[in-house]
Amino acid sequence: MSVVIYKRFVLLLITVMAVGYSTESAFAQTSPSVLYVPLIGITSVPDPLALPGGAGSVTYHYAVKNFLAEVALTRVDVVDDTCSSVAFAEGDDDGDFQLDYNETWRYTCTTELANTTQSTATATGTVNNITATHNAYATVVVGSDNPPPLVSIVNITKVAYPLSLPAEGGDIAFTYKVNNPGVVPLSDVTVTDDKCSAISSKLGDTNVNNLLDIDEVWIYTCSTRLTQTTTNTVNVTAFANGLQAVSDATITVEVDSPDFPNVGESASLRTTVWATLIGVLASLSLLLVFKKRKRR
Amino acid sequence: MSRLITARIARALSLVLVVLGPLPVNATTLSFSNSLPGGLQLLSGSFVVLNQREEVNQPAFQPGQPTRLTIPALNVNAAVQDVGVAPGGDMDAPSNSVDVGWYRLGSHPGEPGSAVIAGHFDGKEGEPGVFNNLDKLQPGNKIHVKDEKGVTITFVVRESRRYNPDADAADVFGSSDGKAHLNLITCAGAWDTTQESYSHRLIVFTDREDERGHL
Repeated sequence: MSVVIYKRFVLLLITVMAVGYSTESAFAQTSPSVLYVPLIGITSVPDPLALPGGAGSVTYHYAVKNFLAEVALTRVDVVDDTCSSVAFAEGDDDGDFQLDYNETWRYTCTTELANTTQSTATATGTVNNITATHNAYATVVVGSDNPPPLVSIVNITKVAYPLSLPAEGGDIAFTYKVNNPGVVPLSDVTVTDDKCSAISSKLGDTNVNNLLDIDEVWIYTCSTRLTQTTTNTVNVTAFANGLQAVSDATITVEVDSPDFPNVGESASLRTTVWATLIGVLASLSLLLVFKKRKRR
Repeated sequence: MSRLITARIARALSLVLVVLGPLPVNATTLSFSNSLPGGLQLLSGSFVVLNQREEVNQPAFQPGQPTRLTIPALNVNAAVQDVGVAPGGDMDAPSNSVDVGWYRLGSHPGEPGSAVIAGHFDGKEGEPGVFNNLDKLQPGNKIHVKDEKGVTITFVVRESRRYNPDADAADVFGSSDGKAHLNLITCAGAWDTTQESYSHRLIVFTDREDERGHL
């Protein structure tokens, strides 16, 4: 039963967007503004999911998607740390070598496994010199009848993000977008952020059934004040068919450093006294000269 | 009569001149360039295998506000003010020459990151400031910071560096190694009459020592 569910590979994608002040960046935009970032997602599903009889051959199936409609991803690549011969299979429908929003690029890789192995597949794609990266994990249990741990039912993104604050800090508003690119509605969706507690209630439950359906995008926001460079992680949990899906995303907001302080003063005082004394001496000299001339 | 008064004033002034010493001169300005990686921030994520997730529930160290700084090697024992950013974007200086100023918008001493404490090189009356001898610190010297909870955290000097006042201070106010550092700042070099500032900033970089005396 669980294997069937795994093969459905319920996918949960959380993306993080931030609204805030952007300065000194090649990507600076008028503040405050919504910043769009490239998002790439990958799933990795091994076949078979387990090798109870011992060592054997496993084929990983990867699906890569571009989750940002506005731009196509270039230089898309997939690597797997346990399988070296990742090969593109299909999906570039228009043959332009760019991963478009409506395309799913599929890759495969076959390898021999002798022990229970967790693999990490990494997809990268580039937009305007910003590289988005995403990992997918899959575990194949070898030599045991125990059910394998959950395979990659969760998607998460890694993108470059232009966002910074001046030295005195400022307010940042995060916007979280949660969607379910799988085939099973998700229930009990919970979003938490380790550095921002006032997360809003969701928007986007269009049919108001409190389930994250596959055609819905739920949006949450959270505002906080940052005074130093901060890395915060947002977590989302949800359930489908009794299984829990978890995802997280991390973003670093840079706060500029102040300039060095001026912590020396006596020389300043000395200069001031000197200037005063010179002024007084000059005045006295002029006064004497003036008086002498007056006497004459 | 007026000649006598003038002569006395002149004598008094010349005595003051002798006490004050010669006029300060400008120093050659060194330039530093500390480049930063383009202002890009990363949004990253990771996958969690639910049944294998390991929760590490170590209580996070929550240092209080620093109240006292002691440097035995320099006989420094100073109260700590908290300071922010001056209107021009500089870190604020402590309000007198005997206290030190902790940059409250940065890390607390003892928590991961680089806490910064500044102290005057000299004061308005010409007296030596609390960090007048900061350049005498050597690698291995210890610095202690006591916080409002009475906890004392020890740091060990790693190195000293001089910066141009306008240099990028990012590596002084921030660190990415996940460890706790304390960086001390004071003025150094010669007085620049144009800038009304010393020609350099002296930074002493330190690393936190744990309870067992390890870095």
